[in-house]
Amino acid sequence: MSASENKPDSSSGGSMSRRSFLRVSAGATALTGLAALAAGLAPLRELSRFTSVEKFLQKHYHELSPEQMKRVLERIAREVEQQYDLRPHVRDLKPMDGVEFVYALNLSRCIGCRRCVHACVAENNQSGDPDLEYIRVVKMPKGTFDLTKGDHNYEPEEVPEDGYFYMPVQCHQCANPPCVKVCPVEATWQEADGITVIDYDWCIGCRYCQAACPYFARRFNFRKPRIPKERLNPDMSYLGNRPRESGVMEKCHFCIQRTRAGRYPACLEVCPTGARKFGNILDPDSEINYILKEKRVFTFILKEDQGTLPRFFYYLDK
Amino acid sequence: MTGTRNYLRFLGRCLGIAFVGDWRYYAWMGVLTVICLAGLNAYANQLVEGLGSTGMTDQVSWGIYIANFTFLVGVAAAAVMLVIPVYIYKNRHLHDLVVFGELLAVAAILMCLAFVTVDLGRPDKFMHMIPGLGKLNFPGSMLAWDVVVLNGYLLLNLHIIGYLLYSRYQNRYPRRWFYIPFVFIAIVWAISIHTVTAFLFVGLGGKEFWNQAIIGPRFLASAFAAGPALIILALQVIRRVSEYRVRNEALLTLRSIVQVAMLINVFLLVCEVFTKFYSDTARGVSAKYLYFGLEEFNALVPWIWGAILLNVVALALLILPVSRSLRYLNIACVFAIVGIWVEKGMGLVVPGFIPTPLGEVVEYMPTWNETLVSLGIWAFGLLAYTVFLRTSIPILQGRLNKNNEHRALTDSIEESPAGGVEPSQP
Amino acid sequence: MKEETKTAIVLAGVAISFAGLAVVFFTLSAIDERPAPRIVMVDSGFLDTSPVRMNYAAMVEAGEDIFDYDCYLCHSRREPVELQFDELGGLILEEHDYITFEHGPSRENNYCFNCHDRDQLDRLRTQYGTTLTFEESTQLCGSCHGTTLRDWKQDAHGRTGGYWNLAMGERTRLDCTECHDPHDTRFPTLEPAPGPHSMKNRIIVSPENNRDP
Repeated sequence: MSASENKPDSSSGGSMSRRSFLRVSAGATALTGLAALAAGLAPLRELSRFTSVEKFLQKHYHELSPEQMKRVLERIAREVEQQYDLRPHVRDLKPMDGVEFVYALNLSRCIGCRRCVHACVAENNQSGDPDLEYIRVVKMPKGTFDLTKGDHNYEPEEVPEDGYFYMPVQCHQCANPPCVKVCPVEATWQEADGITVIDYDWCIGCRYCQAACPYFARRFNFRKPRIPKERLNPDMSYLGNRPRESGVMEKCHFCIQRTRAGRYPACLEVCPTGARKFGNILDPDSEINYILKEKRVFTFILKEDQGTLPRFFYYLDK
Repeated sequence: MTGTRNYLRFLGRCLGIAFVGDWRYYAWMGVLTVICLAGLNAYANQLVEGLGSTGMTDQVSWGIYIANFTFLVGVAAAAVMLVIPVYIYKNRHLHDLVVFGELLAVAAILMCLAFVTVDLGRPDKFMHMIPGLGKLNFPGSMLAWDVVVLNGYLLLNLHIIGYLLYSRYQNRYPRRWFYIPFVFIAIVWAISIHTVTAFLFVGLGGKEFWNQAIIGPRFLASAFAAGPALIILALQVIRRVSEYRVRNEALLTLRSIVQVAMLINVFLLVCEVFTKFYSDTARGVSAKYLYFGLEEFNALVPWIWGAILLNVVALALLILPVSRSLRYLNIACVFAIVGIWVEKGMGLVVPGFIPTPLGEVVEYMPTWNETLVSLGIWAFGLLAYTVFLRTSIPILQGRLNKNNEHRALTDSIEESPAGGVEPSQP
Repeated sequence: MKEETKTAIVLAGVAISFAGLAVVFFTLSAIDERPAPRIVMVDSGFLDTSPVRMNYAAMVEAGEDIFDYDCYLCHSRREPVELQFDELGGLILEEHDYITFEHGPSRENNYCFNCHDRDQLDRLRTQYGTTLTFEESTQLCGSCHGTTLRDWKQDAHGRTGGYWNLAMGERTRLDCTECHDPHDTRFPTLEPAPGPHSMKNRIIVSPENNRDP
């Protein structure tokens, strides 16, 4: 900078040509700079479907009137149809009165066959590429609950293997959920029936909830999810299994589109051993109520000190 | 009305000056712009591909973006280490340099905001964070707190610096009541931005590596070492390329600040390492991963030991009288900055995720695209800081003021007597 | 060299770098025209919700060949079967040696007439003397396994399907023998479905993101 403060000599002809060279250079810099800027942003032309005015202006789930929600559901159905050539049935099912869902998993029954993982993927329209699953099954050597000794990638010919037990983990639908507390935009919250849901249209994708979850239950769409047309489940719910977009969180929601219609979750129905049990804890006649009263029930060992009060229990019956 | 016009003309002249300089200035700005554009292009790619273009995974869901963010919040907070001596202890050596520290804070905050933005999966929904339009989860979410304190800090600093510089431009004494209260608010606020950023991590009960009270103090100590170290280097560059006089005494005052902060930082590090390893419980498994690796997974081990080495050497240099010579002081500063960047960025953010809550070990390495975006943001920050200095130095020297506004842009600087400083800055 | 000339040269250099950048960006941003790779999904066999084995009732319903249950194709009604043992006390199975006897650890648990009616081979008989058809096998199991029967009646043991809310729809539940072979009662081992990310499509996901252990 100091050098530029020498008083310029503007009288000689040589200086004039230098000045014009300078002007040409400056002009060229400005022009090529703009060209580089434009070219640098060129990848963005593939972004045409990133968002739409309708989606951009959409209000928070809690502030949508019934008519607005109807329009939103129509938009979703339209988008799904465009992408998958399939008219989905999109609903916004509300929690039922007097219902609080609880899940219990019998560790002495689970054989680690991972059918729950894939039934969940199919039911909830999870991306096949890149693949994304809500349920993790950890193979644990008998005699420990130290998860660092677990194996997530076991692939023997047959399960169960001697000397191991299997521990499926998914969202625990905590009564004191750390993920809800940390969300900066209230895109995730706990519903009256105990399900912690995500409004995919409101999530900004900061992944703070993912860092906060002590159960590794939340998943992020690092890329645009891809589902084969023939595997799309057309029975959809706004807070549940409607197709997600790139850059938002998702997680287990107890198959909200099924359970709020009275049905069992998909992971439960596919479980060949009946290790998975689900129901309304407020109903004294429900099997889940019976299990919590009669069985040796515990919440996720080593994680109880998190104070999250899960609605997902493990139990043993022999 | 004339007030507004004057102010706009002031801004216009500041902007104009940013495009004027000698060949070294253009070369520097050219290089930064090229890196910036490369980063912008990489970000465009990331927007199209999604965050899958980064090395982040469900297992390690924060990476180099949040690491840089954390480091830079510290740099921004460190401006108080210039402000406190001047406004509370009436230190004369640092008096005129406060502005440069605060400008660095502004540049650092801009970089912080950029790093948070590129980390978002859906930046198009940024307005969901704006109260009124969206639903800011305040005071529940520490991230919401961070949004509030960072933007507040930016505004505070912009107000203080903007007002001081504009007063100087108009050859007026600044009215004390119009900025001194904000200076004191900004002091507290600066501590708060880094505390809140520490709480962002500390508040997560599921991450034993972060969920400890020592993280907050360590953040502040390392910030008050790295920030002033950066300012020492910046001041020497200012001294070389402009005629602005920076006294050696000022640099040595900053040296003693870095010295003490670095001492505390290393002490706290020792406290933490002792707690993690002496008791030898199964809980310190993330720390074990960081310092020694878990079986074949040891990507961070060379980084953290490198950082510790740099920190210790920097501390030794700072304590020894040898760093009264600027050459050794500069080496110590560079070592401290790099060491703290690694230790607090990659060394804090990444191991918090390893192993996952389900015991899985997945390592993280930034991808090329991610690195380019980060470099682009750093270049953008340096670009912004250079522009701030380019405009503020002539104003502080009185070469750019209201009296010479009718002259041509370049001439106005070149013709006024260098260092003709009239009302001295209170 | 004059300062102005230097400035001009630097600016020209910057301009050239910008132009170079523009070319590089533009080349790199060429849209990939290759068709998206096929999405690999899990074999739909793993999504099957039917029971792991067919019991007598299910075979009858499905019209399967049930000659195996027609005891009197071989046995005679007039000659009651006597169990025969070898020197070590093991049961001699003769024609039934295809059956694995693993109904609990002790030999006494595996005697035919613990469950089958000696006088009516196509009937079952509880320890209390009640005679049951093959379709009623669950009651037979429950006559010994009382706590399990109690759990099963509460839907707490065994597989269920359909509706948790009985006011909204029906619930399916399985009989004991749809999961357990009465002679070899341990739940069968199964082939596990693919693990996490083992189906990751390796074409679209760049190698640096594919770093699972």
